[in-house]
Amino acid sequence: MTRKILIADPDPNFSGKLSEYLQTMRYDCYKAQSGKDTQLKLFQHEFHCVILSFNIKNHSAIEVLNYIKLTNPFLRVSLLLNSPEEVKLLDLDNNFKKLGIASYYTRPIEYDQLAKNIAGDNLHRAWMEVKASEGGKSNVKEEEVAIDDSEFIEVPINAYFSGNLVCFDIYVQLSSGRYLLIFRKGESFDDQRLATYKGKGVTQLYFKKEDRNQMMDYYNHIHQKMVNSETISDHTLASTTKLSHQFVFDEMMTSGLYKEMLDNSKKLVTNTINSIKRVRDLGNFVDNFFNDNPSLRDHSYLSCLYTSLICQNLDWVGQKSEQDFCLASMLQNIGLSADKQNALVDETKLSPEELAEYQKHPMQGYKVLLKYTLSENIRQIVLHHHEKSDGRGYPQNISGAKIYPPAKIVYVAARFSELILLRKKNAITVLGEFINDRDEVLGCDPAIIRALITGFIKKKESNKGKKK
Amino acid sequence: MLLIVDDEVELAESVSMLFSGQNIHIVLAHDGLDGLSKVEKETFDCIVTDISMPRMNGLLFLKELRQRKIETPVIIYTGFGCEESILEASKLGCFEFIDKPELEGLEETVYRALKVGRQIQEGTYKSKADESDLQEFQRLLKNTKE
Repeated sequence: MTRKILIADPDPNFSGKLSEYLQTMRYDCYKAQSGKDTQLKLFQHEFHCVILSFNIKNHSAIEVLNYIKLTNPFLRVSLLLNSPEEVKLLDLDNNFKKLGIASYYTRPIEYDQLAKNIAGDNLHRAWMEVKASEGGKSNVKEEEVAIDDSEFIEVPINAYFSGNLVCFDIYVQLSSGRYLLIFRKGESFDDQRLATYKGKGVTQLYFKKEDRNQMMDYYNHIHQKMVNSETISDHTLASTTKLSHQFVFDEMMTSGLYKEMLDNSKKLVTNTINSIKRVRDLGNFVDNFFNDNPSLRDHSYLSCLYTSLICQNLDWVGQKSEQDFCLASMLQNIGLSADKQNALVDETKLSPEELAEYQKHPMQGYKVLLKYTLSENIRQIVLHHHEKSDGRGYPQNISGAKIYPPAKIVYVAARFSELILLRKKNAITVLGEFINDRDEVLGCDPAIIRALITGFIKKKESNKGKKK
Repeated sequence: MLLIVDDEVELAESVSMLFSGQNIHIVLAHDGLDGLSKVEKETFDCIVTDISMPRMNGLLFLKELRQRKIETPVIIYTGFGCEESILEASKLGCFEFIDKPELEGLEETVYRALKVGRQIQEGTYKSKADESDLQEFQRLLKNTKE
């Protein structure tokens, strides 16, 4: 789908040229020469981003920015200034977030840089389409580079999928800090070359963290295709689902909830829900991802899967609600400070002081989410996801019907996921242990536990049907 | 029985229109005080209320309900600038918050709330598992194993 960009600049020559340039990248460009016209177009259309000139008149740029903050705070705005003096005047280095702008540029404007920053994932996709139509480069030579390990993300080689064109620079690790660039962005993909590395025992591929935003978008795209394909195995679907969650979780925790991030999270939630609907062997889908150091990222992923499974077996959860509940399950631990984002916490092993600090995270998460335009539903789930029906939960120590009903779903999904990860056992074994633990079950809503067990039974029956 | 409490008459009426022809008896109230007087006269399965209202706002209305031990599911419309009220309301027990002005999902939420509300009135609503549930779960569990 073509995305719309609004160029708000009093100079028709400038907006004409910029518009021509962006149209080559398959954007649908709209132009406005006054602030008033800008606001009118913002009211009439949904834009991917706005390029706003600071010297626009008849409603100043500040008035337009205030209007955007009020009506669509997630809209990406790039501010164009005439000189570095204007940057100083506005103290933009300190104020740009307050003004609600994503980036700013002084004239003369470099179109490439502007387009790259304003467009994010969409530019990337447009670029891929253009390059694919031109045909990629081939026989590009490998190159050894020295780059800090912290700049990379790892992807299992078996979980990497490429189209005809390589979308990201791909590396293999030689040793700490030393990498071999094996595919360059824009190159034709060569399956044989990748197979050679597999043959040499390479198990992981490395990508630059700066590409994560694009990878998130790319993997959502792949994930959606897989969900709709009957030939893709449950195992392949599962590893792609998990990898997509990994990209989204890591990006969310490091860069926050910006608009594309939320859009991608919602797409991921839809793909996850559809994956759970499609998959027949639930055990195979969820059981092959244990490692020695369970992380919050794994927990977020499993919680989302089980939230979806429970929702699909509760008669009162509709489609829109399921989306919200799954997104909330992914965001449940957003209140934990950054240094606690990695390891999954076993509350039974915390000191009283650590426990008191840890138990603040639902309220902190709620407050973090107040800064974003999200459904109140999602915030309430994050706030109540540790409350128990018997009143032994936190942070508000409420019980029974006072607990936000959807939060009870996420509580069960999250607790079950936590037990799977901490005990390092398969889901069906942990389900038995969970149900046999009176203390655990008596603190839960019975309809939700019933839905969880029913989910497993239905999947088992559908798998049996398939085998026959 | 559904009670809609909102001082914006047009909005209240458009919400009630969502359920026309659904065999749901709908009563409108214009603020919290009016809502309380309706609740004193009749038993409702679900209440939908705004937060900002004259005379008695949605939060005070909810507090009054809970003080009178009325556990009817309450759905609250939320808008900008009511964060503190929302936090207070969430402690008192809300069935769901619906974002104003979209009201997306309201219909589905009301049906759910009505179902729970009826179970509360009949005394069949269970918010936490008991011994009989444990036995049922054990039986169900057998079906998950190979």
